[in-house]
Amino acid sequence: MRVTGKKEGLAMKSRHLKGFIAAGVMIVSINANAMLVAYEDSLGIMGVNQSFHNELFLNYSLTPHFAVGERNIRFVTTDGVKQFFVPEADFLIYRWNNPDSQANFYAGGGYGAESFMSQTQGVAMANVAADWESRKYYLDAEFQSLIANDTREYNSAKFRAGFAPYLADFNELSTWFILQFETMPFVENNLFLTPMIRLFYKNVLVEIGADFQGNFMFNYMIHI
Amino acid sequence: MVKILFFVTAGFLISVSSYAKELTVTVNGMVCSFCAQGIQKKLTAQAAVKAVDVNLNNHLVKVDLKDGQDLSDPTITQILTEAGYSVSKIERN
Repeated sequence: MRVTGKKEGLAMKSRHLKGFIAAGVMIVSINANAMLVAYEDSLGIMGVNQSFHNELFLNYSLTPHFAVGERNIRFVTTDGVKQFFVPEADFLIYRWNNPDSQANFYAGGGYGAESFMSQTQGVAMANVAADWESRKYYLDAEFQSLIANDTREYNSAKFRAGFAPYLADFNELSTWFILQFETMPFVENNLFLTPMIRLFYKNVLVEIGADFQGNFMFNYMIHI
Repeated sequence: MVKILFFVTAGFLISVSSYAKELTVTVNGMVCSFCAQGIQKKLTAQAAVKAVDVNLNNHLVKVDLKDGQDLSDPTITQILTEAGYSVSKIERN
């Protein structure tokens, strides 16, 4: 009985260590490029870091309408920490280019693996995103669905609205104030309202914020 | 002899000046730094291009061409379309 307990303790320590390493890799990978699809032959690195959610997304745009990528996600769910490793394909379904604004509709999907309690199973992912932005205002809506082989679903949605207090040119630092509403039914306190500040300089974007439950957020995006 | 020299020189000058040194392109959809960066990267990769200056405020892209080089309007339109944007006007200075 005691041996089993010791083994379980070691296994738990090992799982925690793996979790820390995975989270560390996601956070430290800032230097390594995402809109879902960018311009042809561009590399995108995007990271999302919240206490209950870490995400690293790497993608490469083969054409202005098609990109391939890899998404690694870590959720602290009500069941425990779950990790997802999903290669994906993304499409820019349509872009509206106007003189003063741009709007996009993206869709993508992939199939990969979910890791939980040392067990691995297949997982399918689908996502859709739509955004509109001018130089002063920004709106965004994203939906993501992960469906594991055991039929468990991890559906999340994110809505954003933002404004820029001043107009910055290409060689100037651009600042945005953004309010994000996010729902993740599979994590504790599943609704999150997060005010954040976005700083944007050339090909680097960072977002820093905290929700009203005290969870800090640090996101980044780099295009190469 | 002087006449011949005059016509040769004039012909040379006319042929050189027929190439625009700078193009000013008005681009639709160019609203952020990522857009500007993509456009700059794509245009800078062209052998004929010396420098690219993006002005987000006026939606303008200025393309400085190398001596004796040119980029046709369809080529510029194609480059910017591949970058994900649309061209509304091209001016040659």
